[in-house]
Amino acid sequence: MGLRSRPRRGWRDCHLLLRGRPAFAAVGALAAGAIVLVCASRAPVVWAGPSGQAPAPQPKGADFAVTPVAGPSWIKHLGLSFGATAMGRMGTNAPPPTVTYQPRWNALVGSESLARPFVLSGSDLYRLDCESCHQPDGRGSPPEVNSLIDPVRATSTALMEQRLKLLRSPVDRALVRQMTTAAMAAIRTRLREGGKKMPPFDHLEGPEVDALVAYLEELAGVPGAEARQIRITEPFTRVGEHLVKGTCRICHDATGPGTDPQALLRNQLPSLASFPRSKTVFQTIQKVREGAPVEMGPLHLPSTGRMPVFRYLTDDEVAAAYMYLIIYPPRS
Amino acid sequence: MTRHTVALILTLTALAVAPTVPMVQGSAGGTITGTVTAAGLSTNANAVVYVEQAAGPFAPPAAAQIDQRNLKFVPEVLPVLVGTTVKFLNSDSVAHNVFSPDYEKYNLGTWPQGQFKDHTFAKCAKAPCVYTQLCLIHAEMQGFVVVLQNPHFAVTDEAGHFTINDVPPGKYTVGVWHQKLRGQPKPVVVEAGKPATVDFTLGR
Repeated sequence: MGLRSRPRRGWRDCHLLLRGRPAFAAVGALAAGAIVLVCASRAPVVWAGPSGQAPAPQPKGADFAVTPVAGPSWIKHLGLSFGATAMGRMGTNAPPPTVTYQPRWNALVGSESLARPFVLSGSDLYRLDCESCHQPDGRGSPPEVNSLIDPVRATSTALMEQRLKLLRSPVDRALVRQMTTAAMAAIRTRLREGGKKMPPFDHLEGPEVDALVAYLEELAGVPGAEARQIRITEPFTRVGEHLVKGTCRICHDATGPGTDPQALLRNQLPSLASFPRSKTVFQTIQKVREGAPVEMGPLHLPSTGRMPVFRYLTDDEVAAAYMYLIIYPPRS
Repeated sequence: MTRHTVALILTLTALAVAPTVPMVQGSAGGTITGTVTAAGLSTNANAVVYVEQAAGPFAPPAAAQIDQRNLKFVPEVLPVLVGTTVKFLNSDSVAHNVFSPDYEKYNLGTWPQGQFKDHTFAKCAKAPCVYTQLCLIHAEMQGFVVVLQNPHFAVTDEAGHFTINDVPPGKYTVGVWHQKLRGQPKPVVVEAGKPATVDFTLGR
């Protein structure tokens, strides 16, 4: 299993911690030593391939064509009500990211965090683009959201031959290859074009699709998939685009009014364009990752809100989405 | 009683009796019936009992169908006369595929709910020709098309009962096929209008 997030800066976080609280620095070498120890325990585990080798060379990351999010939410497109669908709702059920969560409200203030490109594995792309509907294990929420496990297993010649042998059926390698190739083409077409209920993920580009598919294979238990994991370097705007298009936009329209206590009751959620106008990046991170009360109804009473809490996202990813919405303003 | 009344009664009687008469006379064939016991299994269903060889030719068979419903092939076992076209439906909300690794091997592709694909089982050199039906996507799905030389066949119910109707009188060998078990063929003599009984006990 690959690292589920980009390597975090354990040491630098500690440096920021020290800088933010001068009192710590004054305590002297003993205190610093203690902090160093604590920080060392939080130092990132750099993923180095399945058997300890260095990761494979990564595709160049700066060439992605980032475009603004546009149009109505996906559930509105399908004519579904926010309260009556399982789509986009998996946040609350999902476990936190495998990296240690450190509340870092200086995600943007420290600005280096976004200036530095993200290193994404297929599992990160899965979290940003797929997990809110398909669940962490890929099994979705049938019958509304189908499992992706079986269709992905169908792409494996090894699994197919194993199955035919168990059935004592003749194994025709040409037939097996023909079918598994078709199954893989079907997965890629599905990603690009979507389905009756699934949105098209046409913002994904070649190396991203390869990385994502490799992770889907790992998730589905395809033999040898661990060795085929790919990592990609991407600018923060691209990461924000994944999160906004792959997760937020399932329920939120690109443009339209912001938070309206009365409209919320009628399942009219604030638009993506309204976030940077009405909330700070810190408020947005808190709302997405921990939840925050909203005013709902005619009396503007505080409510816990119905937005799922996306614990499986990182601060940096949410900050990247926020910045993406500013740099690439949503279109109607 | 007037003559008219008598005529009416006679006419009504004739009408009431008439439909039954040709059925009795027209059914030149007999019936093969019996029970199959699948030793050690929880159900006796889905064994195919068939006449091994019968003199043809046989009328072009009507289309048969297998549905894919709740991740199962329905029916699980479908005997057909050679030359039959089987329509494979998909009633599930997930996409299904149908392929068979047996004999000429085929892969009908993958299709969504509400659509169907056909396959014609055009030949069978030595009946029964058993085609395992598999779905590429759902490894747990399994069905069987059993291609036979003649239309004199039946599938057993849960209790193991079967009835093969309209078998022309004569001497036959009756075979039995089961996906897990084996049974020995048995001779049977069919007489017009009479049921011939043959039972099977299947083992490994």
